[in-house]
Amino acid sequence: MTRKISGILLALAAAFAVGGLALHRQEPVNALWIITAAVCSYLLGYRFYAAWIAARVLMVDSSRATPAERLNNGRDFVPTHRAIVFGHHFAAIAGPGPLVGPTLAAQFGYLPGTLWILVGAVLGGCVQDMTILLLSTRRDGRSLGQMARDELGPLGGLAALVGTLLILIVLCAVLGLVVVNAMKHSPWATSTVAATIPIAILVGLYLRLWRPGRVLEGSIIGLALLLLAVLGGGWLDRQPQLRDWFDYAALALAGAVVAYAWLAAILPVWLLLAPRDYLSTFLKLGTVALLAVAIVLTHPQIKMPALTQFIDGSGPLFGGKLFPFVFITIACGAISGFHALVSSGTTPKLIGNERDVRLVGYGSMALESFVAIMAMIAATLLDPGVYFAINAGAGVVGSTPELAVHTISGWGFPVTVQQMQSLAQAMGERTLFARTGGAPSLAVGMASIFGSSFGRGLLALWYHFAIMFEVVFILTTLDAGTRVGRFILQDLLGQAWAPLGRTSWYPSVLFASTLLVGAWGYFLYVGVIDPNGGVNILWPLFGIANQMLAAIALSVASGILVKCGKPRHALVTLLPLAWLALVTTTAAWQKIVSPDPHIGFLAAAADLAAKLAAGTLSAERAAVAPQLIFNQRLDAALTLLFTTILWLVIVDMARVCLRRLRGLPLRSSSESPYVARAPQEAVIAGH
Amino acid sequence: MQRVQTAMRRAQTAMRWLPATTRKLARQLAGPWRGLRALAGEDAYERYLRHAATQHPGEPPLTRRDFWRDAERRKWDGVSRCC
Repeated sequence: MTRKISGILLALAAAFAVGGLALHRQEPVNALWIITAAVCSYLLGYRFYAAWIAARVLMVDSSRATPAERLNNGRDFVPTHRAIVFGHHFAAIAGPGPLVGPTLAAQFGYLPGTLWILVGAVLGGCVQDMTILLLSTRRDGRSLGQMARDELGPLGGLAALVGTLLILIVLCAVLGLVVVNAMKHSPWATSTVAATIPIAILVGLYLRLWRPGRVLEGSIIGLALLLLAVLGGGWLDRQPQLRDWFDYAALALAGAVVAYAWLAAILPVWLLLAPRDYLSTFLKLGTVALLAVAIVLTHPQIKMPALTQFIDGSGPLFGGKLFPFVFITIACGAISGFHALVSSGTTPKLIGNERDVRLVGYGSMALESFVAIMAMIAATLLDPGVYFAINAGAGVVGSTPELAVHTISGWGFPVTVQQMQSLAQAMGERTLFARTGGAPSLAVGMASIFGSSFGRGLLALWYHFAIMFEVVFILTTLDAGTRVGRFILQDLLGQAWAPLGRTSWYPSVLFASTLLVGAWGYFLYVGVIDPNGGVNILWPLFGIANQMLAAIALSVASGILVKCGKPRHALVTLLPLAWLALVTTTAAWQKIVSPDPHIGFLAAAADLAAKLAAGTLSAERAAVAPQLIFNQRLDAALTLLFTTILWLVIVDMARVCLRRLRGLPLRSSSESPYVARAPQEAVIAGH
Repeated sequence: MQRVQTAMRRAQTAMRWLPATTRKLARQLAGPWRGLRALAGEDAYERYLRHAATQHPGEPPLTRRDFWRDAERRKWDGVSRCC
């Protein structure tokens, strides 16, 4: 009875908050409305939808032994308390994606992105993560690619592998670009980020040589040093001779990021990647918690309107209408295909009881979605004029501050050069104009939230703390992504010549790492020389790739559910799949064939080629135009490839489903047979 | 296993020398500390030792150093971080 009453109250609160948000059009909205709507939606989804899916669709069975119990080896297969698995899984899925996507999507206003984050997570992303987690748990922790091969066929398996490799390349390029734009001509940020490398190496040595496995000790030392590095960067910024050593243009920084990632890929993991990951995990969990507390304490007003005029497709951050582009700009935070790779890897081997998948799969994604909501709040509490001045590329608004404020004020978002100057000064920067990529505007938003709850005088420190926080875990994702991409590349190359597939053979490691870093380094380079900021091209490409991966995961899940004889219940994954297929294909279509050079890759290439031929470009732009033209055409080809892979997998899944419905023979299910859990093992498991 | 037990005995002996209030505080903090260690994955080796002692008695378990090397290799051979 109390459960029912609390459920009804929750539903009323959610309806009230979401309705309030949607109807609050004339007066400014407080961030607490958004927080309330979000928390109530997640709780409702968790209490009712997730419970129903677990019981009726996935048939979660707590009497069934999990692989962690059956194969317990005390090392990778270890039954673990669900709160601990939740922590590990959340730390693994939470990356920079849910911070950057909502920041960019805020150009449409706060409402579309917020609604998509909530609806997409509750009905799509959380369901995908939980379903893949259970299916992989039932298959001894097999990966998404293996499940695609086992259940759909070799085509599905290959598509998942190639799709993952391509998404990694685009992901690393766009994340590299975000880092570069956060550091360009900012000695404070650059020196702090540079200091994180020796700090990580020191922690790596500590955990390897002196105190093996003392993760907490090592991390506490490392975090203290990171905070010192933020302070030290501020000191260095005030030393005229020293600051020049860390004052670089974007191109030089891009070279440094590529060189760093190449080194990180070929060095042993314990030296750089593993310790950096510990630091970024603690930093991430701590900062996210701090941000949540600070938003509730300060409950800021949202200054961005609910909808802006840019829903018509003329947005300065990236081109394209509200539909379909808000749905691919926010991938992580609403639904992210990448999570399916984590949900089908390490996590299933830790699940101690099948019923934990609701908390671990659905719950972790709900929390990740909440991070995206906080990023949306941090972006929309800025004056819209300031938001656009920071995030719009110089090629869109004009290359001088005067031109930029004139253009932006002309859109109806007043901003002045003095306002931007005093803001930059307060944040300890020379300028904040045209810092595309989302990280700087998020840092300004976070600094104003933290500043008004924990000390106004420390704005510059908070800003650089936020930049350091974002860059540290973007670099972790970059390192880990390069490494995983290297493995996939070696796997594929090994089919051509077997020695290239040996992941510990050093020449092969060097070759595959160089190839992979070269591939994303190329996209990063073009992004840096692009006067429009590069993010406007790379982020949609990443969004399309990530949604393609989600569609592959949902296809695998739907195929398995139909094969198990649950065609109607398969709608829980088929409906999000249909929506993703629709938005991804529409977005890809527009990116390829749209005649508007602001949106279509080919139109942009043709437009630039015509201007180059007519000689109307400045000398500076004419110099890079041939590369940009080639790159736009390459991006069009890549988009076409993503869409082709997406539809191949969907058709393969439909073939399997049709055969099942007609009663034709199929590949047998790869599910491990039922084994009842041993009562005494359950006692050992609970620790 | 024996090393763990010795260490625990030593810790208990050391505790006796502390004033009563500090001991009480230490006992109250023991739970959250264990949780934090588990969340960070720092207790993996102790859990492995318990597993090895009960499931494979007689076989020498891995040393702490070797266990961590192996754990690190396993963790980074797959997708363990996301965007």
